[in-house]
Amino acid sequence: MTKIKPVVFQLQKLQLRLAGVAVFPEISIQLTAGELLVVMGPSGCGKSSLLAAIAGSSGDEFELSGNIVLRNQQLNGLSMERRGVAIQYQDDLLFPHLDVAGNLLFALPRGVSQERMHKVGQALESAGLAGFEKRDVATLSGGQRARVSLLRSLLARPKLLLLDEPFSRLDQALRQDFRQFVFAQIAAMNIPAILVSHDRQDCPNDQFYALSEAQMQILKRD
Amino acid sequence: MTATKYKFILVSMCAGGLFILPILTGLLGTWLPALGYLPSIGARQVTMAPLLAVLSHPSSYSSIQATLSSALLATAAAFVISQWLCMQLYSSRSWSWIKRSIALLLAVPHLAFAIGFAFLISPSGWIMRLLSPGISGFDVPPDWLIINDSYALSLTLVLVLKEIPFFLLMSVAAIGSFDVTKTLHVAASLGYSRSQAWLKLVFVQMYPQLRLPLYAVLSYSLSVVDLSIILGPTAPPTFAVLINQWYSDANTDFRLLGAAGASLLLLLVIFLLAVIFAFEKLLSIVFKDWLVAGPMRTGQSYAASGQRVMAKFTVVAIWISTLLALLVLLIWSLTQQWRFPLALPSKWSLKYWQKSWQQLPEALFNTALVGFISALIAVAIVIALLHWQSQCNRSVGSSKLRSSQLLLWLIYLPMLVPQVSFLFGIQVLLVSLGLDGQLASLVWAHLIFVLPYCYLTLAEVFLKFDNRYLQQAIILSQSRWKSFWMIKISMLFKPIAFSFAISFSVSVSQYLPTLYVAGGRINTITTETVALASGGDDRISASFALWQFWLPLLVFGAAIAIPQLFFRQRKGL
Repeated sequence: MTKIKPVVFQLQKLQLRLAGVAVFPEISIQLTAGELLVVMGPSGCGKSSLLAAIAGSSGDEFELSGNIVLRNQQLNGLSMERRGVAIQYQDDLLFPHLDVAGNLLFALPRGVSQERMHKVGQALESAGLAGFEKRDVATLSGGQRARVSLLRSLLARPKLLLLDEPFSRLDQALRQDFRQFVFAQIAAMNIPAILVSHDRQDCPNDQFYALSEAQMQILKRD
Repeated sequence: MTATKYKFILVSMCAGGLFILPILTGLLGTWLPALGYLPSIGARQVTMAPLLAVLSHPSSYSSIQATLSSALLATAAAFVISQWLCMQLYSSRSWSWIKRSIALLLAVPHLAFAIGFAFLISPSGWIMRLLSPGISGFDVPPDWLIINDSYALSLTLVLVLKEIPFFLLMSVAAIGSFDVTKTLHVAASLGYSRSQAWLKLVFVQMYPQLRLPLYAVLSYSLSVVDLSIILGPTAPPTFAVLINQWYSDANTDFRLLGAAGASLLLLLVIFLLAVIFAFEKLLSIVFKDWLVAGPMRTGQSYAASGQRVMAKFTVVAIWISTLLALLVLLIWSLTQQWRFPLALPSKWSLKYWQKSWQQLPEALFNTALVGFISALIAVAIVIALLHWQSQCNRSVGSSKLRSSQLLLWLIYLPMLVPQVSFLFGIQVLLVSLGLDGQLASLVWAHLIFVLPYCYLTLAEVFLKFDNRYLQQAIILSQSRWKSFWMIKISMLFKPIAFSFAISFSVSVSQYLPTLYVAGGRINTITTETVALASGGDDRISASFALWQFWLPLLVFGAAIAIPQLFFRQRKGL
């Protein structure tokens, strides 16, 4: 018998309107802990707007209806720093004026500085970047930057992870590698995640949510 | 509407209230005396008499004539030359060097340059000394009127040399706002020569961004006082200097004349700007068909390369004139004795540096203090304004363009209105409130002129800043305050420090505002330098002029060095 996991994140009849026009059809989805949902659709179908609405960073011109619920808490109207939702873009957005450790420490809650440094060291080690603390972020390779960026998001202990085409800037070899890394981290953190993508290889179990059709679809292998 | 937008409107209104309102009050305080109403000297009758008195004053006509000719000539020449330089040198190997060197040229204050330049070209100047007696045959300086000539040609020349770098800076910013290289490639593939392509495609797109700088330079040239005192004609002087003399005349009745003159100068500026605006419209109609008339096939590559060489020489000439002007200041400041035809002083001495150092501590301290405080306040206000503006811009749609155009006009207002046409009104206001001659008033008066430059140097980087950095920081740290300081401000620290230095140097160079608001009670290095240059000892005035150059240079150096020290191991900044 497999234990049924509880639902930790749901969108209930979520609808986003811009000047009265719906950006995409109404969405209702549920995610359990550690579950990854891949959202696909043609460009311009509102994938990024959906993530922005969940993260709380969309502009005032968008009109939101429906509910966003994370761990029994309604997120609508909550400012983005109080949602516990991390968002990851194709650009790593590492802060160029801080070193690797500085970038990671920025995301860690306050505490004893030795413990914080220890956590940073552990995180780097888990990503195969042990000893990178003092490195200038500008000297990292693309793959290394992507890892540090994800580690940074996760160190803030988010309750939900949003990924906006995080692999599209990486070349094929790195992409596969980093994808595995991301999936492993999500599983280890045991948080739900939503991944917006163009690439069908990003679907771990051949399923994806088609935003324009507003339904789950099975990936056709050809 | 969100809290952010309200905050933005609030800050804009505070900034406007603090800076736009005083200009309007100052204008009103000048217009009333111009119409004969100045109760403090007992004039209460509204009359056209002061205006008519200005028009019938024996000096007015030739004064206005010299002002008009020098301002129009200087503005037109500087604008045309700067655009020609861009057209010839863009994407050449020297372009990136030119871009970097503009800031250095701009760091030399107008006043220090003017004094040094006068030491170069006057009949007893360095150039004449180098040519004498061998080439020129002169054993005594010739009796020529080069400096203070009645056509204001030397003033015009200095204005041209100083405004070209300013126009270049603005042009570089305009060029950066669209893809010029691609535009030129497309045009070339359609058969257009480079100069045609530049005029029809590039310049036409640049001009909207150059319009306000052009207007500002014209207004400045029409109303500049300190340079005119040094270089301009004397009997009569340029109109702004004449107005200034009327204001400071011992006979208080002349104040009305000064106010009337200042109002007429403002009318003149408005009239000329309107003429230029109409001229722009006319040109755009006349050349409408020419724009799309197709490429003109001519084989003129030989002439084109010649022009390019000439353009390079022009840039080098500007540099050489600047360096020579500074060098001759340095030589004069170290001179004990320098008889005419000798190429270099016969006796050197540090005496005049010591002397200037004894006279200067107070003025230097005042200059640094006022410059520091006004630059600090300006940077703080501008950062707040730009931060909220960037937060608003994300969500504001079509009204964005118009409102930012309006904002730009407001920012430029202190540069478009001649200083002399509202400072008297501000002085009257401050005297009536008992606030004249105080440090706070002086800082505030400087701020009016410092803020626009501060805003213009920071606007682009702030509005281009990728807001997702801040958003990431807020999500990660759960603190907006911490994210703002540790991420946004730290990442933009370099341009902020640079903008601080620009603000500081603008404050240092203020002559008229210091004169009118501080009322002689607070002297700065600039007011002292002007006071000395008109009829003092050359050696002292050279060392004063150099102080006027060192002080901003020191701040520029610090503004470049400090961020580098902080982030010396960061390549990504």
